[in-house]
Order: sequence, then C-alpha cells, then structure tokens
Amino acid sequence: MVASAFSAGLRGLRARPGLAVLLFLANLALAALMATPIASVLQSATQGTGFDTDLADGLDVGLVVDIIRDHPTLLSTPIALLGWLIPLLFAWNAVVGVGLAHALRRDGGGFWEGVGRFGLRGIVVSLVFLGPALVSTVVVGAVAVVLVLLFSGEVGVFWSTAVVAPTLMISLLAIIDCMNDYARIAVVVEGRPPLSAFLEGLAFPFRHGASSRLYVLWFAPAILLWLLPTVLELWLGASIVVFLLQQVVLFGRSATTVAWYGSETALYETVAERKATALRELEAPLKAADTAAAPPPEEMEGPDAVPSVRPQAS
Amino acid sequence: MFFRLLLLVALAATPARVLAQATTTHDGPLSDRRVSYRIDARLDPETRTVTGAQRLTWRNPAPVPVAELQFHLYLNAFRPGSTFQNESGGVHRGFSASGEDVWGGMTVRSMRIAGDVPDDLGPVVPYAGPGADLTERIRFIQPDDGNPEDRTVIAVDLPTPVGPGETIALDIDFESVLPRITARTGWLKDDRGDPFFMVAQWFPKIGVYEVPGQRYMPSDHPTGGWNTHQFHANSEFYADFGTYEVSMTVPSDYVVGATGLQVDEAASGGTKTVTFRADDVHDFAWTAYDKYEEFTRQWRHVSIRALIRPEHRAQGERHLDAAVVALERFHDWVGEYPYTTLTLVDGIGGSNGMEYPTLITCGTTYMLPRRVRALELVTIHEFGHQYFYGLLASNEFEEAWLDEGMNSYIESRIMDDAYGPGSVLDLPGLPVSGRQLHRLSYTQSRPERGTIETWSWKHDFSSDYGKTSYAKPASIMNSLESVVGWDTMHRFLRTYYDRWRFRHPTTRDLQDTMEEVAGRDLDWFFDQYVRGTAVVDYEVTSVENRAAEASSPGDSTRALKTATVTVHRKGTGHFPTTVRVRFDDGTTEDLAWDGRDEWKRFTFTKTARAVEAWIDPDGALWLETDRLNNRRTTEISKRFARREQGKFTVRFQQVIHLLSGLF
Ligand SMILES: [Zn+2]
Repeated sequence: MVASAFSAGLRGLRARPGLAVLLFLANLALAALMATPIASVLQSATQGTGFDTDLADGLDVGLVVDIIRDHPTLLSTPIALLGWLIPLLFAWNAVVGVGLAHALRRDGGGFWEGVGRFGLRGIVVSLVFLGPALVSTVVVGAVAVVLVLLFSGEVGVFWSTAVVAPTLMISLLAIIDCMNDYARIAVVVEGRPPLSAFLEGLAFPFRHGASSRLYVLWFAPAILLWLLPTVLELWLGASIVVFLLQQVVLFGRSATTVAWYGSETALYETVAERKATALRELEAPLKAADTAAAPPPEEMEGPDAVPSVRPQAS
Repeated sequence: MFFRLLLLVALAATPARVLAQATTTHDGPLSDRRVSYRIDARLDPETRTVTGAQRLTWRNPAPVPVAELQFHLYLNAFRPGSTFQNESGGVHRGFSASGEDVWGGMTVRSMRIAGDVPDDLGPVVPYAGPGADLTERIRFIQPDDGNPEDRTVIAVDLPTPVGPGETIALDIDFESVLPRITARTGWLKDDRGDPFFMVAQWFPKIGVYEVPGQRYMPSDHPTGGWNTHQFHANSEFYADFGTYEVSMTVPSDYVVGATGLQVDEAASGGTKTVTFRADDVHDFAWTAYDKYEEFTRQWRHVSIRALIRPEHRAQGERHLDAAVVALERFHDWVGEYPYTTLTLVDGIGGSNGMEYPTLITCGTTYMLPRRVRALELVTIHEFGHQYFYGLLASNEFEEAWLDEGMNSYIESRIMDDAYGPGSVLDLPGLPVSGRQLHRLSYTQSRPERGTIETWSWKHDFSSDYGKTSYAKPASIMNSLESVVGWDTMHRFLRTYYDRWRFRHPTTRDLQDTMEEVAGRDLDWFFDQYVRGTAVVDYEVTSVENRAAEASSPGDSTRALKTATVTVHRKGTGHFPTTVRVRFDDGTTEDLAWDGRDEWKRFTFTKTARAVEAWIDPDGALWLETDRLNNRRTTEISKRFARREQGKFTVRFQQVIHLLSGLF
C-alpha cells in the first residue's frame, strides 16, 4: 500500500505540475517579500560607500556590525514583517493542505475550488493542532529538564539539550504534521467537520502503520532538498547561477510537497474505500438474512491485501 | 639507521637530562630574588582546608631600615563583607556560588621570627633583631578603601627594623579554607560529585616593598614603601620574584599539577606528598583532582603537561597544539621562555582562564567544534601571561593593561597568524579574527568611556575595566603597529622584554622603550589613547570632480579635471593614516594624512575623474569606531544588496518550507 500510494503521489504530480509551480511561486513571493526590505536597507547602508563590492565577495564581521549599528531597521524591519507574515503563512499552509487534497484526490477538482470549499475548515483544523504542538513543546521541555537533572554535567547537558530534546521535538512535530495532513485530507475526502477531522487525523497514523512509513519515505527527499540550497551556497558561494540552481532545487522541494500530499491523499482514499467495501460486505449478508458469521478480519498492510474491516485497535 | 644512531648519541650528549632537573634554562638567578618560600601544605578534601607551615625569607632591598612588614591574605576576599564581595556582589565573570560551604578564608595561626635564615637567596646578611613571636602584632589594614571588614592585607610591626640588605626569615603557620569557586580559586564538585581543587592565592604572601627609583617611587625619596592592595573584584596581583619549594600532601589517588618542576614524591598511608620547586617566579598555585588525564609533549627545553578532565579527553592534544603555537611565536616575537615546565589545567567553572607562573588554567566544553577556537584563544592568551604577568610582572592592580592589554595584543596577533582570517570563529561566510574580536569589543562598548591607565577598581563603571584592560589596548597596539611597522614593533617587544623582565615595568617604561626603538616621540599616542579617552572616527564626506579651469574645451576624455576629496575627523582622536584615491582610468594615489585637522581637502588635477576615496584602505586602524564611513565612491553598484537579497530569499524560502512542516 505504501508503494502504491507513493507512486500515486508521483502520478498526481505528473498530472498536475501546475500545483508545484503555484506552491513554488507562492513561497518565492513570500520569501522575496521578506528579503526585499532587508536588501533595501543594505543597499542604502552601503550605497556609495565603496564597500558594496567587497561585501558582495565576502562578509566582514566588523562592517556588518557597523551596518547593524548605523541602520537598526535592518533587524527591526524583518521582525515587524514576521508579525503579520506568520499568521499569513499559517493560513496559507492550511489552505494549501485542503487545496492539494482536493486537487489530487481520485476524482479531483481544482486547487482553488478546494481552497474555497474547505479552506476555512482547513484553517480551523490547523488551529486545533496547535494544541498538540504546544503540549509536545511542553513535554519535550519537561523531558529535557528531567534529563538534565538526571544526567547533570556538561556531557549529560549536551546530549540532553543538543541531541535528545531536538530529536524528540522533531519527531513529535513530524507526527503532528502527519496527523494534521490526514485531518485536512479527511475534511476534503469525507467532508468531515473540523473536530471530527481532527480526531480522525489524530488516530490515523496509529491505526494505519502505512501512513508513518509513507511519511518517512517522503521526509527523506524533502529534508535533502531542503538542505541542498545551503550546501550549494557553502560549496559554490553566492552568485546568480547558484541562486538559479537553488531555485531549481526549491522547485523540487515544492514538487515534493505536492507529490507527498498526493500520496497521503491516495492512501487515505484507499483506506476509506476499503472501509466502505468492508462495510458493504458486512451489510450484504445481513441484508440477505444470512445468519453466517462475518469473515474474520485480515491484515491489510500489503498492497495485495484483500480489503477487510480494520480492527479498531492496532 | 646510522643517522638514527647518530641522533641518539647527539641527544644523549646534550644537557637535556640536566635541563630536566632544572627549573629554568639558566644556572644562576634570573631575577633579583627578594623572597623565598618553603611551604609544607596538607589538603584535607573533607573540610576543603589547606593547612600550611611556611618558612618565608625576605631581603630588605631598600637603602633604609624597614620596621613593618605587609602581607596579602588574598583568600580572605572570599569572606562575607570583604571588598571583593562588596564590589562583585559575589559574581565574578558570570560565575557565582550558592549553597553551603561557599565561603573561604585564611587564618594566620602563628608568625615567628625564625632563628636561622636559609640560603635560598644566596649569601645573606641575617636579620640582626631578636627572634620573636609576631602573632599578636598582626593587624588588618585596608589601604584602598578603609573597609574594616576586609582582611586581605595585614601589617606586622617588627621589634627591630630589618636593616638595609638584611634578610629576615619568618615561620608562619596558617590555615586556608578554600571557597567554592567563583573567582579562580577554591573547590567545586565535578559532574560525578567528586571534589576538584584549584589552590591559588592560598598562602600568606609578602607584599612588594618598592625602593626609591622603583616604578613610580621617586629616586630621591628618603624611604621606599609597601605597595599592597586589597583584593578587588576587578584586579589581579603584584609580587616580588623569588624561589618556591612547596610540598603538598594529598590523598594518594590525586593528580597534582603545580607551578614549577616536580622534584619529589613520597607515599605514606593513604596520602602522598609531592614537592615542586620553582625559581624566579612570583607566585605559586597548584591543583589536585583524582580524575585528571595527563597529556605531555616536549617543546625544545619545555616539558608541557596538560591535565585534562576525562570528558574533554578528545581535546587533550588540542591544548598541547595551542601551547606550542604560543610558545613558538612568543619565542620569536618577544624572547625566550626561560622555564623548563608549562602546565595546562582543564579546570572547572570559574577556575578557568587564569594564569600563574608556569601553570595556566584553560577551559573548554564538551564537543567543542574545531572551527570554534575558544580553547585555542584562552590557552594562547593565558600562556602569553607567562611573559607579561609572569616575567615582566607589572603591577596589575595599578596598570592592568601592561599585562592583560599587551597580552591581548600579542594573543590576537598569534591567533590571526596561526589560524588565518577566521582564527577565533571560522564560520562559513562570516569569519571572525582575533583582532576583529578585540576591535568589536572595544568599539561596541562605549569607546569614549574610561582610560586605560585607570587603576583597575577605580573605574566609574565596573564594565569599563574589561574594555580598557583587554580590548582597547589590543586595538590601539594593533593600530600603532600600522604606524611604526611590524619590524619596529618586533624590536620594541624584544627590547622591552630583554630590558624589563623580572623588573616590574610601568607604562612610562614601556613608552620610553617604544620611543627609543621607534626613534620618535609617541606622546600623541599615549596621551590620547592610554591616558586619555580619544576616539577615532574618520569619514570621507565627498568626492567631487569638475573641469579644471585651465583645460581646453573639446576632447572631454583628455581634458584636465580637478578632483576634490573632502575628509572629516569626526572623532576626538587623531591617528596617522592613508587616504587612497582611485581614478576612473584605473590609477590610484595613496596620500599620507596625519589625521589631525577636523576637515581636510585633497585636490588633484588630472585627465581622469576621481571615483573613490578611502581612509585606512588596509584596515590597519583597529581603533576606528565606524569603518563604514571611511570610504565613498561615485560609482553605483548594487551587487552586495542584490546578492544578499538572493541569499535572504533562499533562506526565507527554506524557513517557509520548515514552518509548513510545523503548522
Ligand atoms: Zn588575561
């Protein structure tokens, strides 16, 4: 099932490359929106100083500190921007989730149609998921404190705060992200209201092990493509050619998001379909007044598994 | 094989074995030894107490009798109510202590004039007075602030004065309760709960009796005088040179590191007694800890020994490498390191980053990345103190910069010479060098406030001590180097060291030596930047071109033009520098400018237009507080802003992708 969902995601991307372009351009526009005021402060700070070309070839910490001291807006402008960009980004990300799910489902519609129909519910679901995210943060903080107390000393502190806590935090956030994806998909595929979708998303990774494996399968290329622009810059330095290369990579990263959502939507649909089939199979004999027992539940992990009723607890 | 054999023979023939038993490279005394200490000390780890029996020998260097002796009991800084506690609030460089057993202190149990005088100081004229018990004569004095609770200095009246040239010996029994470490000395429990000891400022230490002509004591002054100061939050030490032989009895599983050379070790029951000897030094410190791992290396005549905590085992060799980097350059740039030992101690918390003769505490953290050279920086810095604090031994209470500042100057030079542009922090895309670090700490912390020559505890703002003792001196000396040149600076360093080692030089002595070597008057420099608070900030205000009056109309490219460059001295200080003017035909002209006038115009009549003017184009003015306005061009370029826009765009794109994973 993981493999078929993975390839379904790739097929979805091939069928709707425009979605990747849309995502990429939206991200680029938001990023440019933040970078532009910084660049304009830098331009006015270095304009006519003659240091412009030297700094372009490599930063000088002394000059950078002089620039920050003489032009405090360099730091305050992006911080002020973040005030409204974070809510915007939050909302955009929520509607992207439902838009992609709607566009990539089997009898999918348009991205914007999905955004229009399910956007609000997508945002509400994402807002509800801030709860578990907050709880996770508190839990990780508490775990870190306990670890530091148990393994005091710099070695213990290092492993607790620089290795264990971040790994735990990333893992928990990844699980919540996975849950959030399926909750939004549930909104689109089954038309669930936010709370029902939230609960469905919360349970989904636990009920269906395939979803976690699929997540990890996509997580790996996503993280590689996310890191690659930095690696390129460190390796080749910053230039227009490198910038274009980075944009190609980041386009790949956006395409990954599209395919990733496509895969998750396909997985969800398969599960939902099997559930429906199983229900029908259960109901049919009942309707025929057959007193024979229902077939025993079977595992449905393999791609060839016969659809069956999924045991409620796993 | 033959060559190897030859080498072995050659090695056997060299006096390496002799050197290994000597504390210095010289046969006789290197310094004018005025004191000697023989101490038997016993450490009780349970009570964190060092009990000591000390035979102190002191020679009166003055041409007049001295009727009173003064001593430092530095450890009493760690008693409640001391001047150190009042000034620091119990916090020293970010380290503080809380809980039980925080306090420490020293009690002199008895002090007697000894019947016989040892020959530690060579042939002596023994004290002619009677043997006497001085214990009841001890009184606490507070020469700096009159704080009656401060017990860091004592005075003792002698029944008969010590005559000129006479040597007196005292037997002193003392007990030192070690404090929980906040400022360099004391004990701390390690991560496993086992005690670690850094034992410094731990014994009654005689002050410096300055004779007429020494330091600032006028040559025609009828008497000398004691130069003792209380222990302050912002101050270090000052003492006479001499010899030390110290036996330390500790539990037998402890590793001991100490000033000087280990000459003996004897076990008895569950304890062992190790004896160290040090000559021509002015202090003695030691450490005891059962977990130390030992790393050793031989550099020429110096046996380097690093005592490293187990969690930093992986950085043992890094410590030794840094020490060799420092030894090599100090040897070339300043002069010989005359001692045969150097001990590097990887201490805990506030014990780190401190210097004692032939022993320094370094300090690092677990998993410190190679590109973060904090360990190298502190090791090189503390080693440098062997010269400025150890061998030159200026009075750190009164002229801290002669040690910390001159040392910071050389340390930044060594860092940059050994490790390149990112010597301190080798961050990809934003390297930070040693000289940049000092420039930033100076220019970003009120550079106009506090003079270098202010006594260390007398700053109006306590935070000015660090700036004026470390970063500012380093920056002004790095700048002076640009004026006089490295060759002159190099000759100055060697001359200053040759002439003044073991002699406690003053700022005056340093300036005189530098002026003599440079062959020019340097009052302008010392008045403004050592004794004054002048700040350097130069600015290019305009670069203008117009047709020259004499030029003929017609071919505009060949016509003469007059270029005018206007520069402005915005700061209160002046410093000789260079103004580089670049023309649109690719030529440049470098003009020397004394930097004194508040406004200055440079004009050029050429066929080319001036396109850029740049004050201090080589970045040699390390005390320039704003480099951004040092340069102006008529050319428009957006390369930097565009490149940064691209970089920030990509960074933000990545952040957006990351955040989309979080929501
Ligand atoms: Zn220092």
